[in-house]
Amino acid sequence: MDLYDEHYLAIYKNPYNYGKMEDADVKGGALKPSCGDQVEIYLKVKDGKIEKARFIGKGCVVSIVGTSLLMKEIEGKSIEEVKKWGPEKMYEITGMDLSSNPSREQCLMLGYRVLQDIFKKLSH
Amino acid sequence: MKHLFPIFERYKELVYLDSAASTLKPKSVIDGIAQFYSYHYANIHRGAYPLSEEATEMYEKARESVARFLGVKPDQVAFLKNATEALNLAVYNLRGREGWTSVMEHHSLYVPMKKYMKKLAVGWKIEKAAVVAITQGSNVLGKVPDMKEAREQSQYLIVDGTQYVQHFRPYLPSFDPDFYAFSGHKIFGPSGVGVLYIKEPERWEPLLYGGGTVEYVGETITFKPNIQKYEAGTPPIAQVWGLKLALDFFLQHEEEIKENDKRLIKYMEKRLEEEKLPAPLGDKRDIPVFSFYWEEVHPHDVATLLGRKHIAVRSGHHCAQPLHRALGIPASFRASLSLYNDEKDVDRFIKELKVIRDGFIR
Ligand SMILES: Cc1ncc(COP(=O)(O)O)c(C=O)c1O
Repeated sequence: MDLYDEHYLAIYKNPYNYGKMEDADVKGGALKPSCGDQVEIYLKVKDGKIEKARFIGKGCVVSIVGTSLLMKEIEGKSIEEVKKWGPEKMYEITGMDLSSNPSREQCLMLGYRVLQDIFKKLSH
Repeated sequence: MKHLFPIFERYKELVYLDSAASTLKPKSVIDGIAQFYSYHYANIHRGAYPLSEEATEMYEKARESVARFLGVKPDQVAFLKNATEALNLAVYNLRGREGWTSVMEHHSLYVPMKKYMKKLAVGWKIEKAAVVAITQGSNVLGKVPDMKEAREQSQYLIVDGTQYVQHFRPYLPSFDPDFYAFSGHKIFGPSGVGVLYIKEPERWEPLLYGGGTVEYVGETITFKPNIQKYEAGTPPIAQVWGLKLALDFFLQHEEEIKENDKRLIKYMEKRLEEEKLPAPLGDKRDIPVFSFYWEEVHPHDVATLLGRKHIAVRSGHHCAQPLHRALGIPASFRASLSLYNDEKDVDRFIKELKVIRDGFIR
């Protein structure tokens, strides 16, 4: 789907899984200064399973929608499973077509990268 | 003036509002470079054969053109790769001193100042310092600071003329900088060539050493006494010629550029107000550079959506992170205008901005 499809604009204005989590087991954040986008991700983890995933942030349609749908997708899944996902999974989850805007791929990967950082933290 | 720029023959719908990043190229420059390569090209400063002599003569003629453009002597004009290299050379030579630079600076001046000064003060209002480094035109706010004030406050003055020169001809003797830099590609010329004016060329060192800069190489090395010591290796020969043609173009259209800029600044400000669109950053602008921050819509989204309507604007921090931080915003989108823009371009920009506003902010 086109990145400015109504479907995405609706999520952008009212994203799934949005909000701060005070009692998170683990959190991570990234600032991508080239556009100033910031997202912070919070996870509640029990027995290797992601029970709750939330995020807050400011960003463009692509980064906010991407992170929001990623949070929705990982809830209830095991860390082991989510860890295996490659970046192409972001296209699968969002169904977003960036073929005419390849430079925006970095926006789509913002939440994905923060999540990878969190997994690194968890395994230490 | 679109008819002088061949890109519009291929891309009729284009509304190019990114001249602060790089200007489009007029036909005279493009054709002149092709002619140079076709009929006059050889390496310079080394062949005793006529073709090399001819190319050398053209290269030196270009130096004279730049010198005339700036109001200085040819032997004070060095050709380098771009404004970034030129500014680095200037700051490097003044390293270890206490400096002041403006919060508006492009990273190409800000970062070397941060690296090479012993202490660096940064602010809006010019302060006294051994080295004052300042832009003559902000690439975000379109503001032109007072160069005489900068001269009075400094022992050494470095000026970044990169944004200024595509709009006004600078007359360097009026503020007497120690170094003055700009890039060819932002004044209708080719990329790959930058200019550094050096007030006292005999006094400073080059950044690079190599062929073309030396007189005697043995146990000791002696450098050429003239400006060539700054131009190590084969220079961007055709680009230097292209820059000369670009300055010819600028001077031929100088009055039209000034008139067009002034008219379009007014028109843009008026149209933004009429349509109740957010005002651009900064108060008053001296060059037609308009940057915007909209709380509700990300600059990348604005730029991508405008791009789909063939309107070229830039989004991000425009290599001026300290400025964006000082303004308390993460990024912005920027429309910058030049000779080939007109009221119709502004109207299309405004029209599409309204569509974006209405789509996001409901
Ligand atoms: C004010 C200013 N200074 C310096 C530069 C650097 O120019 P260049 O990238 O050609 O070295 C730019 C261009 O982005 C600029 O806008």
